[in-house]
Amino acid sequence: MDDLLVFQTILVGTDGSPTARIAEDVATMLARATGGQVLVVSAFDGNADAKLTAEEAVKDARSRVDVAGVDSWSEVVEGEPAAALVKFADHVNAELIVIGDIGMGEARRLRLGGVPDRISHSAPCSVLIVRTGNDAREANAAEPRPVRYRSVLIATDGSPTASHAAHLGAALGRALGASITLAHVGDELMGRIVLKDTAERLGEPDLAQQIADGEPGKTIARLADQLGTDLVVVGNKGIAGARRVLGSVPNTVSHNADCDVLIVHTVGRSLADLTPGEGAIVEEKGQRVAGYRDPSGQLTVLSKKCTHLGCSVQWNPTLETWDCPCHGSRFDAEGKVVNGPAQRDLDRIHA
Amino acid sequence: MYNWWVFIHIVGVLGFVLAHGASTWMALAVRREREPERLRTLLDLSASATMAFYVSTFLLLLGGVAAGFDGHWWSQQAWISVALGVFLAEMVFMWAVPRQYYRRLRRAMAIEQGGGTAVGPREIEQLVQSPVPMLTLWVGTVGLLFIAYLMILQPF
Repeated sequence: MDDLLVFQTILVGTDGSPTARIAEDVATMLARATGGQVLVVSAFDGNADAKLTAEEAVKDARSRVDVAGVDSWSEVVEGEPAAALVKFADHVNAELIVIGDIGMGEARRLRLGGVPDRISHSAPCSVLIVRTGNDAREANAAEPRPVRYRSVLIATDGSPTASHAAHLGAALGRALGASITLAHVGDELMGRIVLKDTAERLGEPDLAQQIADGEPGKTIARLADQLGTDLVVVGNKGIAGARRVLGSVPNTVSHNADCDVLIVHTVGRSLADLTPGEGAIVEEKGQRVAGYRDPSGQLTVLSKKCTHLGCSVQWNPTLETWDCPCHGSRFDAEGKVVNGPAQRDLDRIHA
Repeated sequence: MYNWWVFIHIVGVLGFVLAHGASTWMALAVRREREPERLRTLLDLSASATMAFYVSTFLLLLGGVAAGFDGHWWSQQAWISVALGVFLAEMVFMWAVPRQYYRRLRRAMAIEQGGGTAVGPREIEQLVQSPVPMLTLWVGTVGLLFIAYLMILQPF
């Protein structure tokens, strides 16, 4: 349950539409499972009528969340929906944005330029994209579909960021009573190694595992479809920045999966996000640094540049070391050299 | 100046062969090794020669390209362009194939070192029995021999 403490403030965007209601239901279900609260937010474009509509939308939504026995509050924000929701999520330090795949007030499916798409690329936290049905009739039904995640598919390549997403996805799956399947796209041997190691680290060595070959994003979406998965969990690596142009796994999954997609905020986290005993590459004052919070809560902040050739080090949660993927240099949590070829400790930024 | 460029080129070649020799022998030794700690040592040894490899490759290219200009070969003879093309193609191959393979091996060894049962003797056996090291050795050797042939015999 500790992992789920990161989902204490769940922001759900709504425009009062039946499809947005499905996203509200999902947010409510998650808040129940994590013990968190739901923040219902609606954006309006500046005119008085739109503001009134937004206020009514959040009022209705909040009353439904309250009936479910979940703590909630609401807000209307002015501006273009995606930008306004992202800005507000940042302002209130929301840990999760839940958004329907039909664009907030604009009948647009998740696609380049749509509201959920833009939110997924710029959110300061994790994003859950909820499938609201290709057919609007489903969403318009008097009683929306019951929301329940029976099966969760967690995709991992064994990297530290993917492992973080896997821990969170597994904790969420357990809290929801869902069956969990781990997936790896790549060659069979490394897939077996990575998935077995991930399952052992999750404390569930018998978790179901799937290994497939192909283009990672599309293959994960296809696997989810074949397995009848309700929720796919991926890390957000590559969804923002330069790799966005080249395409990234979370982006491809969110565009291709037929089920809900949780994009866990594993890249672009801040020092404040680090839990005791955790290390990660995080952002601090616009700079990416290697941060480690020891079990007593003390922070160590180091340059992420390996002192050998300048590659970015990665956190190794098993050994609690900083490892350089380029040439194998290894540093302890405080940045001291454990293994070469690096000869010099990681530069300390501040502790 | 031409002789100086050739000198720099030869220094680069010497450094390249010495630095890459460590990786070459590591590639061969890894195939016979099954002990995780010794495998990690071999991988570290190979990694330790990387800086020397990059510096010598830079000198090799700088000296060779500059000597080609000084000797007016770029405009008059095709062999130097072909040699440079083969060298660059080899670098792309090395980046795409063996580099990925050794990254996987390093990751597997890191997982093994971290405890757990994901990487055992069977997995190590399968990892080190990959055809990649031998393929790399063949591609590297044939490519360098071909470049040497072009440089010495200058056939076109």
